[in-house]
Amino acid sequence: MTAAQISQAIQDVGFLTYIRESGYTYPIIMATHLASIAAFGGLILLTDLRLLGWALTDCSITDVVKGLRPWKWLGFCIMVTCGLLLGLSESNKYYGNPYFQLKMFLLLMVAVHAIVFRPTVYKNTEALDRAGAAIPSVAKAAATLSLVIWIGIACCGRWIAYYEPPRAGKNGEPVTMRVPAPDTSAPLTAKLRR
Amino acid sequence: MLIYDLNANPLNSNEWAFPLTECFHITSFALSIGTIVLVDLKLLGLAMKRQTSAQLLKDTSLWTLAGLIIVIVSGLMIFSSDPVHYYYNYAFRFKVFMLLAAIIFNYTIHRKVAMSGSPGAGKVVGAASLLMWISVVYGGLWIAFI
Repeated sequence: MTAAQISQAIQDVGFLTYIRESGYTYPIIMATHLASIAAFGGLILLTDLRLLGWALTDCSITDVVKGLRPWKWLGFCIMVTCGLLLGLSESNKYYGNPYFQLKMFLLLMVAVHAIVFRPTVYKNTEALDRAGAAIPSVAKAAATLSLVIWIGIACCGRWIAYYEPPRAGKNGEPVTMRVPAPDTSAPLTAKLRR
Repeated sequence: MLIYDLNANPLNSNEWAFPLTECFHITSFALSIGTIVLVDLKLLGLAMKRQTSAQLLKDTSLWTLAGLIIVIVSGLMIFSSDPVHYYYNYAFRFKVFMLLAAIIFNYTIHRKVAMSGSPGAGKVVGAASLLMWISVVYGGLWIAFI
């Protein structure tokens, strides 16, 4: 089976077809995905800013990392569930999309990041707090990488909607992408990419 | 008569400008709403047991404000790409109404209750704040679907 056949088979599953073709279910899932980015993605940014010593400096690193962990997990689960439903319901359109592929790679990097920095940073917060204002550079490195990865994931997620697969030309040669002239008469729904 | 050439707006003529502005919009609303959500969770008694809500508010207020400024500037830029269509979009109107309400609420009642730390009012205010900000995000996403 080719990737095209597999992705087509996935998105042909009943409830995924329903999501794709639904009037309200699709935007509700997408809005929930976005709302959890707002609420819980913000907590990820805040944890990174604490590790950099730029925010919440009156709270210990332990309090921030441990205190927000269950909420970040909850948010992550909602985000991933909604993301899976959205992605799988259009998997045939997405699997060849380079921004989708980069996003999946960056999500894998989230796992690598967690494994790499768990012993020295996230399970080692008491020692980080003992260092006081001089936050060890390993914690700052973990925070910086986390910021880069997560902001990258958000940007790739948005850019997925703007990718147009190259169409084959008359003789099969790929056609380079051109910026279409804005059609001011088109309704807004046609302009805003989903 | 005011004539505004939409094609002259870089958001409409440059392939990267519109999505890049949206990325700033998303990252900055995560920052502003996320910091407010932290205070809300504290007001609801669901997180950060060892800190007071006043302390958390003071510690995050600068980041909340920074996020709000970027989200509003990028939002106005997105609006400028097609003002008439946005103006007549009901999800957009709902979103702007909820956004103004949420900002006013945040800097008046929410702030007052978080600074005083009264537990009873805290629960109501925390829940109201969460609902308002989430409805802003839902309204924003819905713009593209009506």
